[in-house]
Amino acid sequence: MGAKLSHRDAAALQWPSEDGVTVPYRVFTDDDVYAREQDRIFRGKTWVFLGLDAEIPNQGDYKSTYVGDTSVVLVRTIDGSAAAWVNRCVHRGAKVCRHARGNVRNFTCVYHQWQYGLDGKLLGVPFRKGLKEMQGMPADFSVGDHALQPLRVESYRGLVFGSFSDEVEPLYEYLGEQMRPWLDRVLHKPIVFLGTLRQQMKSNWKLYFENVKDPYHGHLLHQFHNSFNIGRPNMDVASALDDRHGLHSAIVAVKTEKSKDASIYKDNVVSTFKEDAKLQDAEVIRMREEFELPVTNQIQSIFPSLVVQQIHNTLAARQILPKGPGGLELVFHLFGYEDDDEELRNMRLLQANLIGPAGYISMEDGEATELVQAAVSPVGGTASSMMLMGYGAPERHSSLITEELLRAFWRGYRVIMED
Amino acid sequence: MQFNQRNADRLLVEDFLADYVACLDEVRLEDWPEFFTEDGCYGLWSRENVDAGLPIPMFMCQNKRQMKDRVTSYREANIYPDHWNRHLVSSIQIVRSDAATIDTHSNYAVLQTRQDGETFIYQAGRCIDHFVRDGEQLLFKSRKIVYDTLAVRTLFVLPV
Repeated sequence: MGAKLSHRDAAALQWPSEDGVTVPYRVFTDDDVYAREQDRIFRGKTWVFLGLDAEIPNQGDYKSTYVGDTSVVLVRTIDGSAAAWVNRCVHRGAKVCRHARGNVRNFTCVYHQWQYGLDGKLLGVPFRKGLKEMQGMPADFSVGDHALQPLRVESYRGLVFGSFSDEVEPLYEYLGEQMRPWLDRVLHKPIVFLGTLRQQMKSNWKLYFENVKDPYHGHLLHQFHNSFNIGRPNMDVASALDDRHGLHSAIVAVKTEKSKDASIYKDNVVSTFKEDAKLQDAEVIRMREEFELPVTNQIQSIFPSLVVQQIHNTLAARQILPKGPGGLELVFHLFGYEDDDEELRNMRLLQANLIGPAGYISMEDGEATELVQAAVSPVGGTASSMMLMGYGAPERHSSLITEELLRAFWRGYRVIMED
Repeated sequence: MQFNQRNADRLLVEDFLADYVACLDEVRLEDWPEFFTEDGCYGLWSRENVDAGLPIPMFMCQNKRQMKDRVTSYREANIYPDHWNRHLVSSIQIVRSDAATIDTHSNYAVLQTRQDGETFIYQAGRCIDHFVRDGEQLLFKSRKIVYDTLAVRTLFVLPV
């Protein structure tokens, strides 16, 4: 961590209550809050998702990405490990890697051709020893003393994370014993990368992070399932929370017989219920049971930048990239398993229709988070949201009708920001 | 003769695409699947995935029934900002043609206007179309869109 921060945000932000029920809208709009998040969260004591091991399988494979606002490059090095470094030449600060993806032997900054190894170590400087009577670099300059700023890099079951912090615990512990079993379930065997889907939203990154911790909105905002009489909110549901800080969580829906019962919609006057709407070709929602636990949806958020999902047979690691207080880019990294048969692989491709920017059951998240951002942007002072669903009730980890994961998230967020 | 055939094909394709984008721009969604054969395929793939040989689509219908389901879902279920799309299609290349089929490539741009009245470039890309002749007319046997605009703004609803 750097010197004491001068951002006025944390002190000036007024939280109407301590319990995470109310969140001042300024956290979504304020430049100072955003700057402090970059320090405390993205360059702080966290592990930030960078990509999948399966995206860079071979030596020299790389991808450009971000940790918060910082451009970084994730690379497969000579010894087979993944490395990541800040994409900024040690010489004059130019971007060294100018491409999204590729395979190289080493990296050369185009400005003055300073050359780096895959691990980011400086290898060579043109005219270092001068030319004829011209001196070159000072005699005590050694390339071995310089490298692109490295990140700590660790991976867990094919998910690669980076950190700027020397203090953060190892990734294994950071993920923790409450979250690892859910990651283990989805990442229980070798995966293959199937591609990316990108979506930009004019909304604060935390609005999306809230969204994936909010089971209450699922069947109300995303009406595809109820309109076509597919899934019901009285599925068996489990939620898991990392109770060390409340920042990581998982929502898991398991299909049961009673989940076919539509009466819950009729009884609760949910406006979207249509008993007779039917898909003409239900192939898109045909699911093959491929896990021990018959989970239809698992949405797991690992603070601050990763959402791991299994929705039917679609598998994805969603990366949340903040783009200023009022923007984010969401990158879906879709994958399958190495041992998929042809039919299952094709099912995963067709079921991509369920998720992503055009997803039958996900497209509305872009709209919903933008609706919030647009409405809260002009709001100053202490205006805040209100998240009371399930509040004060005995703690239950088996309901979709709760906002407890959101409250836990905001309690944890305050600790990090005010620490 | 060849020259005349090629020009005839071009006019046929141009007329067809003009009708097709008019249907979309006027949001006559129920008519959209009717531009396809019963087993017609439609889908969008990002240019980065296509270039990398990665198969995941953003949107894919394997037959006309799946297209109709999309339309039903848009009418009954999905929530999205009110918007108009305006398609611009250009640079149609006749790649191949015979008595039964025509293959073309073309460029497209979609300008989008939402409720604030501002118009922006929503998407640009390339259409890889495979037509079958249906009497004097054409139908899509497949329409594959490869979009350059990798980061989709907010969401994708109306087909292109």
